Amino acid sequence: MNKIKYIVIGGSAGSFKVVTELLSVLPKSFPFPIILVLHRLKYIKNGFVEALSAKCELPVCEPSDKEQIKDAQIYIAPANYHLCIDIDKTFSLSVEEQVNHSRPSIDLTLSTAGRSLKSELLGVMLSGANKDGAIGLKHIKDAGGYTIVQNPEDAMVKTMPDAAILETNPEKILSSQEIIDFIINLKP
Amino acid sequence: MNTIISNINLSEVELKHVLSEVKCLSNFDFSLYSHSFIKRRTEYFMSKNNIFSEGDLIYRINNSSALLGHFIENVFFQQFELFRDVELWNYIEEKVLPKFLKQTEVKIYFPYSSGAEQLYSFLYILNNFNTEKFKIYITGVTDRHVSKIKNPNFTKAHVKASEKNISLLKTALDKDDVFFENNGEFKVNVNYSGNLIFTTCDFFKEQHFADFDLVFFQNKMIFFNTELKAKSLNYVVRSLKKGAYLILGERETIDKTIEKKIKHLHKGMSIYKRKTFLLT
Repeated sequence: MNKIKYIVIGGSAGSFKVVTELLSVLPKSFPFPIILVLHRLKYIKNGFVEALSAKCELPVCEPSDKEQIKDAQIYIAPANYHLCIDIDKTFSLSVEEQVNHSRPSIDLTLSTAGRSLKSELLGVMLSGANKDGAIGLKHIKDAGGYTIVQNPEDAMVKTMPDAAILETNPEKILSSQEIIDFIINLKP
Repeated sequence: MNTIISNINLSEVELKHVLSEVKCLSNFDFSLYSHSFIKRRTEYFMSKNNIFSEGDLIYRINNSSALLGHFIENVFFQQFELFRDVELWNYIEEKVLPKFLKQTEVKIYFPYSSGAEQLYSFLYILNNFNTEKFKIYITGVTDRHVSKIKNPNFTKAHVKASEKNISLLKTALDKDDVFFENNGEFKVNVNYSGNLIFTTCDFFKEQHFADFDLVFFQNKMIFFNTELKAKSLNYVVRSLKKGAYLILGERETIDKTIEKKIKHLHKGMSIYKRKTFLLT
């Protein structure tokens, strides 16, 4: 496994619980940025960051366009925008068409992150009810990144993990608790 | 594959070749666009047109001006909903437009337009006001864009994406007030009697208009790199009268130089007002 410096996590139905559990156990000294792209309603703009911040010791925010990715920060894709990662390690937002009926699209974030951050990236796919993220995770793997998918038997909704496993053949298939343990034990 | 994510993955050098050829052929310089955006739009265009190498793309745009035109149009895609960020449109109707009631002429500007959504969203909001005194300038990126904005066609997906926004407007409208179906496509049902001035203008190259009371520049800078973003924002701020309003996209930010010239009006909305004096 290469030296991981960035983590991107995609999920939809059933993933919020895993994400909040992960954020609640991350130590203040956790060094890596985590980029979360979760399907969310476009009209509900307030409350999401607050809900994720409640039990997290690291700062949580929705990035603005052209913002530089910083260490030890949790980023959440804003509602009704695609969140892309540029080669200069900045966020690039977009209002292009929905992908897999979604904006933000997990595929788009994972794909651009994979192609920009290459082998320094860990991509994680969690529970969800459609196939968004499967192609993006494959692009991470193709670019030399490390990929993990939540075990479909452990996921609340297994469509998304099933599709990601079929498309990508990930390095690891883990339960939600094993994914949390894997991430908090990553060393800089 | 009908998605903006393509399996084509152009290298930096290949993308540079394509953009340099497009610039030679059309005078459009996309090299200062956001890298991930222009790369994705180029790869998407190639995928849609069964073009699998940069060499093939360069050969084909050299031999077909129509294909070159489609390439440029594909970069400046149409947005997908009317009244995007509906709370902003409600704010404009309730707080901004009433400020113009005493003016004899009100100048509005939609610069660098490639789609019709923002213009027509505004025209519906404007329906409750005396439209005679409004002069609305719409500059399109190319003639094709101007023509599409003048006579827009919307798809069922546009209508669906706009429907909830319409229901959340303070102005009482429903979907059928806004759209009507015509041979499987949807037209806007707008009845506007004021002045609309359409013209083609790439404001990075040409002298642009000035003295506006309200300028809409939402979600345009997100397609530029930092250098072009700063340049475009400077142009746009210069086009505002003192005390005039500027609308940006919700997640677009301004830098410190521009902060001296415009004031953020409302938390959670990208609405700004040009300062009447400059801080030194």
